[in-house]
Amino acid sequence: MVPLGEAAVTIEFTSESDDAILAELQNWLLSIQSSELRDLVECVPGWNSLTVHFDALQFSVEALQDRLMAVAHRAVEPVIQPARRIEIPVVYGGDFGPDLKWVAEQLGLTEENVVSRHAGGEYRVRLIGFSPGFAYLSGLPQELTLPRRASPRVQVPAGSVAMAGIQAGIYPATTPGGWHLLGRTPFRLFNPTRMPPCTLEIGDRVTFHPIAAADFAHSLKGSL
Amino acid sequence: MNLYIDRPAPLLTVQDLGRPGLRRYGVPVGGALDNLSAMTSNWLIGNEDLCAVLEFHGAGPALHLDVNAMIAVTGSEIAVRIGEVAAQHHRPLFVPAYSAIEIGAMTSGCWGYLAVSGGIEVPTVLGGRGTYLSGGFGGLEGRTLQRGDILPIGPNPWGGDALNLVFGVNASAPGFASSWGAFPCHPSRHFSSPKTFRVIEGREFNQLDSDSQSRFLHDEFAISSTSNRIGYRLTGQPLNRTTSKEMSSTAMVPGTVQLPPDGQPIVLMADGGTVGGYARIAHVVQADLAEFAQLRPGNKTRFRVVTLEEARNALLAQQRELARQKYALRAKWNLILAGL
Repeated sequence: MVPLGEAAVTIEFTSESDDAILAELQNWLLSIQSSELRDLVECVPGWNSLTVHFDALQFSVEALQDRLMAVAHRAVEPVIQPARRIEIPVVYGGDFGPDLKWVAEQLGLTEENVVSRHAGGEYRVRLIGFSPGFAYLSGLPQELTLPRRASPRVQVPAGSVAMAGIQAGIYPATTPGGWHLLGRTPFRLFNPTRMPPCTLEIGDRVTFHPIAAADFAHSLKGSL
Repeated sequence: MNLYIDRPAPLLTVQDLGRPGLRRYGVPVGGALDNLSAMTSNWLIGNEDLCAVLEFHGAGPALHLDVNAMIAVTGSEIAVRIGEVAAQHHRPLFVPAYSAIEIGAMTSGCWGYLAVSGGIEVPTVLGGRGTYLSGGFGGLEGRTLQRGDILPIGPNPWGGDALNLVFGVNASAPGFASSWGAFPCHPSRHFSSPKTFRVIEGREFNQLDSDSQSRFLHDEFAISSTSNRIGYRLTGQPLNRTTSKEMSSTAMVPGTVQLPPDGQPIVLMADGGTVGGYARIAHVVQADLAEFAQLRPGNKTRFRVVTLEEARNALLAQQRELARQKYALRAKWNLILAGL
């Protein structure tokens, strides 16, 4: 547990596997939500951490850390909720995925190969951040690992399905971005007129399936 | 009841005190970069804290209202004209309907605020009225304001007669300032350069090589011209990490001094990302952030490490002073209204 400035504390997880990290995260979230801290803090997951934001006028970092330790030691009845399964339609390559060709070349694979490996993956939402609704996913097949672009694009189109390093993600809105763009989805990830505004939640199981470019406009199942 | 933009200003947007509680959706809290000046502008005219105001960078807009109202302009030394009359910053100003309001260039600091009685009443999005430019929502259509834009304003809590009585003028007279005003409680009264800001050591401070650690705490850094609501880039001799290992994405807070691979630190500001993967060298203490935000491109800054306890004490002291100012101005208005 380390301070993040004077108004937040970051709990760094020691687990290694995706499932173990998610379990550690969900235990913490459940413990905090079931305690008196529930309305006093805001929890923001990281890739393998959990940051607890609070009002520095109300708590010192030390006092909040003590409260978190007390909360962690209380036995909480875990509510086993099966993770939701979300299927995301993707048009791969061409104008929708301008980096597919380069990625395939770098990895010594055909484009079809890259697509089938990416679409064959079983992904989990680990955190949301970078921009509203941007979900970071674990589960990218190991053979698709490539470092992020040397220079980011000034504009990545909204819905772009991307990857970098060991992470996969989807850009909810048009923003600058440094990940490799494999395709695009019509699936809407963020809507500021709704509460909660994000479609995806931490822990969701996500799969991608290829659709034809002609079907892009019609595949809006499940989006906000 | 509306406010009309006749000439826009750099980075002119509607802001309030932010929308907390949405970081886990990737939505930063946002809010006025100099929250102290924004709050003072509202209190000067009897508005609540949460009323939305106009924020601008370096120079102000020209505008008019279609009703009699009060305005207040804060942020720094800044020229204000109402019609032909030169008016004062940091004072409540009476503005007759349709008078031309002209806000000039700022001579120190860089973020200015204009509050109007009743507040700016654009629709709320996710519980706030502030503009989140990179997300394209909030404020007016999620963008900077342009010539011809029309912003609804809230009803003046006091009717036209009350304004006349408060300022002792009739509705057709030019703008009139009250004889009293107030300055926001920044840690120091003047925006000057170079200035030293208090920081808390960051988690990855020790990843800097010892030369870089020493330079971070002794060198002057200049604010780059590419600075904006997301972050202020600092230019100076590059700082170096002892490792090139990329960090896992983790939460960030405004005030965090991040170190990207090029060695030029970036100080995250109100619209900065809620998570990030850059090394965290330090965090500007919350009590100093509003004044830090007022550093203009080219201004110089230095950093000095303080403990968590000192940082919190500074924030508590600032909060006490803010409460004093808020209630003093509120009492002033209550007295004025009681006399009507």
